[in-house]
Amino acid sequence: MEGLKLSNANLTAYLHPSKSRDVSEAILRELSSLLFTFSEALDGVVLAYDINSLDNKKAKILSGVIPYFGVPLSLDLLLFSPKPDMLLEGKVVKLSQESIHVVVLGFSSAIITEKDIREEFVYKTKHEQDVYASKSHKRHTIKVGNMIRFSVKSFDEEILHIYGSLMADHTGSIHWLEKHSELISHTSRNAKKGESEGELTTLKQDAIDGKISSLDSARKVKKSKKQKMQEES
Amino acid sequence: MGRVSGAEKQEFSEMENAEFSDLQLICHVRDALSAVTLGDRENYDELVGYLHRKESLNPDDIALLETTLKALSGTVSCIDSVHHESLLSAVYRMSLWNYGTSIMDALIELIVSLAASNGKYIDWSLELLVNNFTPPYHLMDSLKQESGIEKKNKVLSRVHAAFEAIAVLVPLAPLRLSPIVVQRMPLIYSKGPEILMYVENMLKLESGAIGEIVGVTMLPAIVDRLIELDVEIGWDGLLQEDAKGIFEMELEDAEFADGDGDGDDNMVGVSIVILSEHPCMLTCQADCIQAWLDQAVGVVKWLCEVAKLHMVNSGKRPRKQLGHRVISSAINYNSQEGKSLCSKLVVDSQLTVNFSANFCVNCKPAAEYLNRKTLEGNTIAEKLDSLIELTFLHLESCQSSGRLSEVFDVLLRSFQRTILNAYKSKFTQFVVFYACALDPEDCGVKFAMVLTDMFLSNVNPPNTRMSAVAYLASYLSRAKFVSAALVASILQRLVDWCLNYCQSHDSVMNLRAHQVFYSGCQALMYMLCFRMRSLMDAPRLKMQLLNMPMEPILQHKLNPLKVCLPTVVVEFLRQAKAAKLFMTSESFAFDDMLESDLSRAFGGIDRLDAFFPFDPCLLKKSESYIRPHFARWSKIKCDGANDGDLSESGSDASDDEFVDMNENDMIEDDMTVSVQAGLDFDPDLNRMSITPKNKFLLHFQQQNARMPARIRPSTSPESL
Repeated sequence: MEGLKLSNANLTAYLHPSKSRDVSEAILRELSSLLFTFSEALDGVVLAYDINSLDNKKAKILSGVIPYFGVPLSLDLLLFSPKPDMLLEGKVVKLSQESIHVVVLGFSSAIITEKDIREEFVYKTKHEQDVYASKSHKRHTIKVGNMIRFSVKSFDEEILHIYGSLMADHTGSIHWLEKHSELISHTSRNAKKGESEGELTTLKQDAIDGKISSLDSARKVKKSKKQKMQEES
Repeated sequence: MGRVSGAEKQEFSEMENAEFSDLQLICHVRDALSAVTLGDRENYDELVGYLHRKESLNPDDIALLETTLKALSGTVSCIDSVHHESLLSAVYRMSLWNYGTSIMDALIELIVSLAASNGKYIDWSLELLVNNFTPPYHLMDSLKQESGIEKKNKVLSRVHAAFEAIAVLVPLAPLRLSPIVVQRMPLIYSKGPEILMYVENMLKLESGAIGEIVGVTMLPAIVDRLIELDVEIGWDGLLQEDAKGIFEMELEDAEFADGDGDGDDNMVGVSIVILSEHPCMLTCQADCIQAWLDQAVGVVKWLCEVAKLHMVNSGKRPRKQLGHRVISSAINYNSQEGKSLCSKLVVDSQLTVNFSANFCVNCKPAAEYLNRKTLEGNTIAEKLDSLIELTFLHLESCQSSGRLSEVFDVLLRSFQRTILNAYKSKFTQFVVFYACALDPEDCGVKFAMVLTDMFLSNVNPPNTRMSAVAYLASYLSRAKFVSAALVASILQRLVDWCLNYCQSHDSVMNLRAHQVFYSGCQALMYMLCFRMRSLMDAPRLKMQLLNMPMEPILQHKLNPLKVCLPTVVVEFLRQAKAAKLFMTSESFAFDDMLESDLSRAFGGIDRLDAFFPFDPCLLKKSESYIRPHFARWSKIKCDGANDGDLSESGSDASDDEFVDMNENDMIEDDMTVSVQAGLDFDPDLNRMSITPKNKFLLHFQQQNARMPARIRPSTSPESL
C-alpha cells in the first residue's frame, strides 16, 4: 500500500510552566494531540510516533506573559499522505447503487462514487447481499467486508476523507487481484513494479533526509507566508 | 425526463405505480439537482417544496415526502453545498419528532448518506442529529403522556442508531461529535425538561456503542453543568461569619424521617433556624436579648400549638420539648435572662398562641431574603435534583453492565478538576458518593485513597489539600459502607503525617501558616466523632486506635484544639473521655478543654473550617437514593446517647450500651435527651452538621414573610 512513509523529524514542544514537574508526560500529551490530524509541516497525517531523544537540559524559555519553555525533540513518525493516483487498500463497509464506502487503515473514510467505478462492475443484489460483480471475470466480486485496492482521486485534509476511483484495471478486490495477477497485462504489471521500486527508494531517502524535508517544508511555509505578505502590501 | 407535469405528479405519489421505479426517481432527482448548476431551478424548487411540508400531512403527502427523501439518499454525491443550499437548509429544519416512523427512517438514511459522502457534511449531519435530542417546544408537554414517551423512544433510538451508522462509515466522526454535543448543551436557565432530556441523551451516548470515544467527554461536561446549577443555589446571607452561632440542627430527621410529609416538623425547623440567626445573639446585647426573647416566647407558644395539633393529627407525643430546644439555644449566649425565661416556660406549657407576623423581619432585613437568587433558587434546585437523580440511575445501569469502574475513573478525574476546588459545592459531590456506595470495595476505597494522597502530597496547593481532607473526613464519617478497617488505616496515615508535621515545626499557633495542619487535625477529630464507636468495637482496631500518637499532636505548641471548630473539638474530647483515650494517671488529659472558649476561625477568606461536604443532602429525590448508605449523626449519637453524655464526671458509662431506637421515636428521644441534660447542656450535637439549611428559608420566604402556613400541603394549621 502506498501513502505511508516513515520520517524523522526534529520538533520543539512548547510546554506550559505548570507542566514542568512531569515533562515527559506533558510531551506525550502534546504529541498525542497531533495524532490523526493532518500536519502541513510534516506533510501527512501522523499515525504513530516514537521519541528518539529529548533534550531536557536545553529547553529554551520564551519570554512573555506565560513563559512557555520549548523542549527539542527528535522523533520517528509514521505518516500517511495519500496523493492523487496512489493506490490504497481498505475494507468495504457499505455498498450501494451509488457508491462504495471504504475505511482505510481503520480511521480514514473513503468513498468511490458510481461514476468512478469502471463499466466492468455492475451492482447486483445476490442472496440479499449487495455485490459489485465484474462482468468479465465471474469470480471478481466486491462485497461488504472485502479488502479492495483503489486509486486516490483527492484527499480532504481536514476530515481525512478520501475520494477514490476504481477506474484503473489493477484496482478491485485484492483477493482476486493477488490470485489472478497474471491476467493483468505483463507490461502494466512491469510498469507498476518499476513504480513501486522507485517509491521504495524514495521512501528510504525520505527516512534519511526526513530532517531536511521537514525543514524544507517549513521553509516553504515561511516562503509562502512571505509571499502572502508581499501580495497584501 | 423533464419537468414533472401535473399528471405525473399524481402518479409520483402512488407508490405502487410501476412506471416510476426507484432508479427512475433517482435519475429524475439527479437531473433536477444538476439542472440547478445550469440555471434551471424548476424541478429543484419543487423538490424543496415537498420537504417543507409539515402540518397535517395526509397519506399522499407522507408518501411523497418519503419518496423524495429516499431518492435524495440515492443521489447524495450530486448534492453541492453551494448550489443546493436551500435543499440542505430545508432538510436541516426537519425535526424527526414531527413525523411518523417511515419518514423518520428515510430522513435518517439521507443524513447518514450525506455524512458518508462528503467530509463537508459530517459536522452538518452530526449537528442535525444533536438537534433532535430534544423535541420542538410544542411537543414538550406531550412527553408526559404515554404516546409522547413512545414517540421519544422511537426518535431517540433512531438518532443513536444513526450515530453508530455514521461511526462505521466515518470512523473519525465520534471525535467530532463530542465537542458538538458539549457546545449545544442547554444553559442552566433553560427549562427543566429540556435539560433533562439532553442530559439523558448524553448519558445514552456514554453508554452506547461509541461510548468509548465520546463517553470521556460526556460525564465531565455533565458534572460541569451540575456544578453550575449548584453554585446558583444561593446560601446568601446565612453563612456564619465566624465559628460562633452554629445552630443548625441536622433537620434530616425532622424532615425525612417519615415519608408522609410531616409539615409541622418543617415549620419547626424553619422557625428554629430563623431564631438562631438573630444578630443580637451574636453580639449579646442584653436589652436586645430581652426583646428577642419576648418574641421567642411567642414563637414557642405557636410551636406548642402546632405540636398539640400535630399530636391530634398523628397520635404522636407532643413536641413541647421543641420549645425548650429553642430557648436552650439562646442560653449559651446570655445565660441569666435566658435561664429565667426558660424556667418559666418549662413550667407553663399550656400557652396561647399569638404570633407576630413581622417576627422574621426583625431577624434580618427582609431585603436580603428577597434576593433574586434565593427566589429562583428553588427551580434551580429542582433541576439539579432531577439531574442528579438521572445521573444516579445512569450509575446504577453502569454497575449492572459492569462498567462502573471505568466510569468511576472518569468521574473521579472530573471530581478532582472541578468539584474539589469549587468553593463549597453543595450537592454535586453526592454523585461520587453514590458511585462509591454502589461499589464499596473498588470505588469506595479508591476515592478515599485518592483523597488521602492528595492531602499528603505537598506538591498540591494548600487549598486543594484542605479541601481534599475535608472531603475525606466527611466521606469516611458519612459513608455507612466504608469498613472500619479502612477508616483506621487512613487515620493512621493522617496521624503519622500530623505527628511528623508537629515534630518538624516547632512554632506556636499560627492560623494561616499552618492551615493545612489544622485542617488535618480537624478532619481527624471529625472522623473520630463519627467512627470512634465502631473502631472501639473491633479489638484489633481498638488497639490500633489506642496506639495512635494523637496526644502529642493535640498537646503540641501549635495548639490545634484551640483552633479547630469548637463543636467538633468538644464532641471529640467527650467521646475520647468516654472511650478512655488519653488517660494519663486516672485523669483525662484534656479536662480543661472540655469547657474551651470559642475558637477563632482559621482559614480566613477561604473558610474551610465549616466545610463538611457530605452533610445531609437537601434535595429530596437525590436524598432518597443516598439515604440507605448515609450515616446520620443523630443515629450515631443516639446509639451512644446513654453514656458519657449526661454524667459530667462520666467514666463508668459503658460504651456497649446501645439504645434500641425505633425510627419514628428517634426525634422524640433525641429531644428527651437534650432536655434531660439540663439547661446548661452544651450545644446540641446535631450541630455536627454545620451547613445552613437554606432550603426551608426559600419556601419560607415565598410565603412573603408570613409565618409559614403551608410549606407542604399537609396538616399545617391555618389558625394564624
